[in-house]
Amino acid sequence: MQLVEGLKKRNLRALAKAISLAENDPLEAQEIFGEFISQAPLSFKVGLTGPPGSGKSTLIRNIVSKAVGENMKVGVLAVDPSSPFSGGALLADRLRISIPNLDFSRVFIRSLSSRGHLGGLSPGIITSVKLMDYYGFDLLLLETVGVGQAEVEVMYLADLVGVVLVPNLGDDIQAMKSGLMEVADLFVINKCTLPGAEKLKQELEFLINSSPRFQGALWRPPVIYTDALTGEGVDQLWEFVKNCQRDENFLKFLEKKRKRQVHFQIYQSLINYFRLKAEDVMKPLSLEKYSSGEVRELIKKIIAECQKGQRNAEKD
Amino acid sequence: MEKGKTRILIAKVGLDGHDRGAKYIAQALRDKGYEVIYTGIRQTPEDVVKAAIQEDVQFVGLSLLSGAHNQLFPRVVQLLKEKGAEDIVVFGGGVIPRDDISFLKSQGIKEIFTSGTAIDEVVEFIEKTLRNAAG
Repeated sequence: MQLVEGLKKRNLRALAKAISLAENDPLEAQEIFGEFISQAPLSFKVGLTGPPGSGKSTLIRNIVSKAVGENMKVGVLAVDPSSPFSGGALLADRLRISIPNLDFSRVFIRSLSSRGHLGGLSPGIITSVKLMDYYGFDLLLLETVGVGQAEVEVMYLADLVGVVLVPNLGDDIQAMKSGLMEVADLFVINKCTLPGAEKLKQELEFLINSSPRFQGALWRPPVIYTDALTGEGVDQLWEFVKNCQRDENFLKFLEKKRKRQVHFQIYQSLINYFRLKAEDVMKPLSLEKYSSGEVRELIKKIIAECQKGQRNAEKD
Repeated sequence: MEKGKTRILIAKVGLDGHDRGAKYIAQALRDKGYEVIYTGIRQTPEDVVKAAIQEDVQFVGLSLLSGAHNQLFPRVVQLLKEKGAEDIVVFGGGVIPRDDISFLKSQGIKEIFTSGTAIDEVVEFIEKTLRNAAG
């Protein structure tokens, strides 16, 4: 296949097209690329997640320029949400990540739509990341959609998860909740010149120091202040990203972490499979003729028909 | 063209900060179900072409209101060709004098939409182009 040949020659367009295939048809992409990309050496992956507008893309821009300044090759996969109404998407991460005269021979940025997927990433993300591994980057950056409290999928793909927060989003109890706050290997307090930054740092440190999870743990997330727009704190962030790759404890922690990826890979492939099935089953239905009272019966019928392996549950 | 979502790069080239039109088109195409990547203002043709290839788009929509369209639009088409990406369809919009449209089309810009264009016209152009490419 032409795409596979192109990839083997490290053709940039082939990489871009292969990622499209992974996004359009994750299962087919696994079939085509799965075998030869699965053995690829892994790039170091930094995932940035956090609420919308917290500065993830702008931080990535800063990290990209630091990395390019040190002659590294950098890949970025940035996810933005799809529309629940039209299925379309406005992908605007590139706008903030890209800087004038960026050396595109060293930087590959790809914007992805979440395409209805709810974990903060996209349906084809696993294969897309693998394709990037295969192509070969010194550093891979993953940016999630702007997340709420529960979108934590990035923890299964990124070696280092940075949760980007800004001051004054909520009280200390918000920080104690499960989900997002638990997946951080690093906390970044961005827009750190705003009032409330110090209070947030204290709350995060209390959280880390008081949680039994971190007692005797291999890794405890540090808290770093940044202001991505002015570049304040970016040097420290960059040094941290580089240093942790040489930190003995972090590497042990990472080894454990990477094992979780297998579970996620199987899980997401199944989710993709059943999601496509669900779309197949829903498509021929004339849903507008059902009242909400009739829906329960319809669901029962659909499930019964699915078990028989029939596509159109309306057919008698 | 391949199956799957249609992806469109909306780009502003040259020294022109008037981005309402580009943002309007980006938002409207999103509402029509397309995946739209918006580059932001003041892009060079080189950067637009690199973005188009990395993002694997089928269309590039260029917006320009400063008058440099006769230089910058054909440059994008030419660079795409040099990169072997002439299958990416380029269309343009903005403040484009009627007299310039035939020149731009002769340079490989598939369609020009001036101010006042209804979004459905743009969608029709996109869909027609996709149908023709599919044969």
